Amino acid sequence: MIELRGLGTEAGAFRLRGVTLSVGAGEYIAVTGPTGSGKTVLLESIAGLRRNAKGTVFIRGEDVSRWPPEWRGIGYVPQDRVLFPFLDVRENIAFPLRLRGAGRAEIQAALSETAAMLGIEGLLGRRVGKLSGGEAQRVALARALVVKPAVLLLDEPFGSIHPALRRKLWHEIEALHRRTGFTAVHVTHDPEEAAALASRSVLLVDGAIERIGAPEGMPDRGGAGGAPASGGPS
Amino acid sequence: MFKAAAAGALALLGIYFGCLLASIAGAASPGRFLAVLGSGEVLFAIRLSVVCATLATLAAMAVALPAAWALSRLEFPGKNLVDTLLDLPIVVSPIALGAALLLFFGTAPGRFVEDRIAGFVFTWGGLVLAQFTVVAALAVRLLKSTFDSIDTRCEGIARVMGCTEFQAFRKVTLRLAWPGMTGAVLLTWARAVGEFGASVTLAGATAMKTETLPIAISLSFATADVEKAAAVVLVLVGIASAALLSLRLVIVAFRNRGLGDRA
Repeated sequence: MIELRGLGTEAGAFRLRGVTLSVGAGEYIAVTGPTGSGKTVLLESIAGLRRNAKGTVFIRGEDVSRWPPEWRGIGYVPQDRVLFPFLDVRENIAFPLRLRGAGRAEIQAALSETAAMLGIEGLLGRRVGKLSGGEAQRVALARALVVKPAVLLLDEPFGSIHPALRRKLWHEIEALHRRTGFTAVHVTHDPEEAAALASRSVLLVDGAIERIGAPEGMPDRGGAGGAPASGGPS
Repeated sequence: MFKAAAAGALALLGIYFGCLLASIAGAASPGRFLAVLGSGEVLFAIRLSVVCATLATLAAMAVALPAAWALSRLEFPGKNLVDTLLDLPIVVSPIALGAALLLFFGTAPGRFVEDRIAGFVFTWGGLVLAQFTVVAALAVRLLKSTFDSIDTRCEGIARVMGCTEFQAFRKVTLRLAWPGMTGAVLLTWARAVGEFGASVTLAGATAMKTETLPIAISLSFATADVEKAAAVVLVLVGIASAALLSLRLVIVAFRNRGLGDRA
């Protein structure tokens, strides 16, 4: 579903150095690594928000390296959610549907289904500034999922949420993934989160893949547990 | 001690400007003020000032909006130089800008514009052009600050959701910039209403023809009509105060809607 070949880019202090990775259709992988290792840059490169100096990005078998973000058909939950403050919750979620020219009935149906799935029916009329961290997180997820993307990129989606609520959201995401079968690349600092959600984990250190393996055995930074990147799936 | 000194400085400024205002208000009796306000000449000056400032502001915003976005979002060779040059019209004396415009209309391209397209020298069109020249850079500077303060991730997420670059600008950036843009329009307009130096140099000071409020003040002093000058100053202060008060109300309104931090 997603294939990266020798991806390289520089973004200020952050960089990617020849990242090669393959994510199968319906697979859920976690990307871990220390701060500044290039995890967000990796997601932005896949999403098309960053022009890569070298390497190729394939999505659904097509080389999308030169495609603008709007052509890639990806769902993206950025760090800190980034909801539109000038729209209420309903319009935030409906935003990508309106862009696709969906009619009123279609929007209503998709909104109801997605809101029910994430348990946010009661939030639809609220201003985004009035949401708690967990509520805002669900709205950001709903906005990304409402168009049923085949690929979902999540950047530290639960970073600022209370641990108890975080675990609840893990279960919800896991259930959603089972139900809809999207392919996910999930950036996280938390090994427990990676283990709870992902079937494979990628350890990124200084812009390069250091390890790929089962999340349970993945160290915070290098060490035993995962296979070396060259020997792992790529 | 420091707090007291700072508060003292603030109070001193308040007293200083209060004295200035009081001296203007004391120069014209209420009866004379109302008579001047109702005179055809002053009503003409108010109308001309409002119309010219509005046209100059519209023209300035039309150019400044894309220019400010380009300066805020794009990287190109010579960007720092362009950014610095844009401050020139803000720091250079408006009379110098007016002189530059007048000299331009003495050149072959300037004469072509004047003869074949539109007359600017000693006309009300010249007032609009002079005001535009003075306020356009200010508009760019204000709008650039607005765009700089907007989280570019909002545009990015809009692109990933399906917006083209222009759609992201129209549907997301402009809506986030709305409070700042409103402030920029009001400040630009207020500055244009008060513009004198470039206007008088390019358009001249002809009563009932190119007589904006600042030019009316100048003409009144030239004929030693101090009461009329004071009354027109009060009108100008009133218009500027209304613009600034509107700006404050707009900021409060946007803040109440959760957009205040970007106002």
